[in-house]
Amino acid sequence: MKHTVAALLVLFLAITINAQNFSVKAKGEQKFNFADPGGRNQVSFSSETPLEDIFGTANGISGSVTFDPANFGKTLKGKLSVSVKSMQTGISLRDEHLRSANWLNEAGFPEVTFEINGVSELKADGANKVKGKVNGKFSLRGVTKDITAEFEATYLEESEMTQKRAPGDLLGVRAEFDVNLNDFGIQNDVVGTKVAKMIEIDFNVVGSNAK
Amino acid sequence: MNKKQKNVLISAIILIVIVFTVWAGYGMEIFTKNKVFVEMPLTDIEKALGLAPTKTWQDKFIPGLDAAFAASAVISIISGLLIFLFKNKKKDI
Repeated sequence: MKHTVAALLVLFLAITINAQNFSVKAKGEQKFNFADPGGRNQVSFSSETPLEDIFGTANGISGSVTFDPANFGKTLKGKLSVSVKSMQTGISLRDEHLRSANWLNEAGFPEVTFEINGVSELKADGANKVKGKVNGKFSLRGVTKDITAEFEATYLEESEMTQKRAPGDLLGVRAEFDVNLNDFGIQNDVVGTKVAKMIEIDFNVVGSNAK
Repeated sequence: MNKKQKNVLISAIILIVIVFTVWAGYGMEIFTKNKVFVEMPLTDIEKALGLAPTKTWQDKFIPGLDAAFAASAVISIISGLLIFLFKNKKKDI
């Protein structure tokens, strides 16, 4: 009886651990590149102001992540960068303010980066999808802070359907986190109105492991 | 106030009402925008990858309250000048 319980426990643990990884053909470390010449990879940001909510996007995304699909949680590492120049908010004057020295200081710091340190609270959500929290170093305007983002990643093996987007296996990633502007020394005045201290950031990107 | 001045005043009021009606018709935005974002429909591959719709920016002029106030100020200044110019001159007896 004891052996049966122990065997079931081991089986349960094995299934649980495996469920937090991707069951795919690719073996060993895979590198997924997020540079998208088509400009469909996108980071969006939003902020509430007393007068109106501000919404913006950035499509100048580059960088890559590497991981072993059989051991995603322990092997994930990488860095994503977003070009400040590619940020748009729908108002040209506001975009200029956003890129100015008082704000993101494009001239001094042309990219906003997120470097992955590790993941936690990893859970399976379907065959090739995992959810969890990714911890990393977020650099904005020359200031680097530890940030935890909620994410979900979906791994699709190369097929006729995936080739329409890009060659190779694809990794779709959505992640969201909040950034406190005060942490990065930003004066939060834009075109005469106050921007909320907290900015919500959403990553909506696809990477390919094609070489 | 003479007839010409009254006509200028009434025209100015009508123009300002038109300006704010146009502003209301464009959605009563606070700030003037030169681009609006449009959500692209999700493709099958994007659905399979669990992505959110991508937003694209389209060139479109949306007058905001700032533009409405600016236009109203211009109308007020011009009508004020005209009312001043059309005032009755005192005749010497």
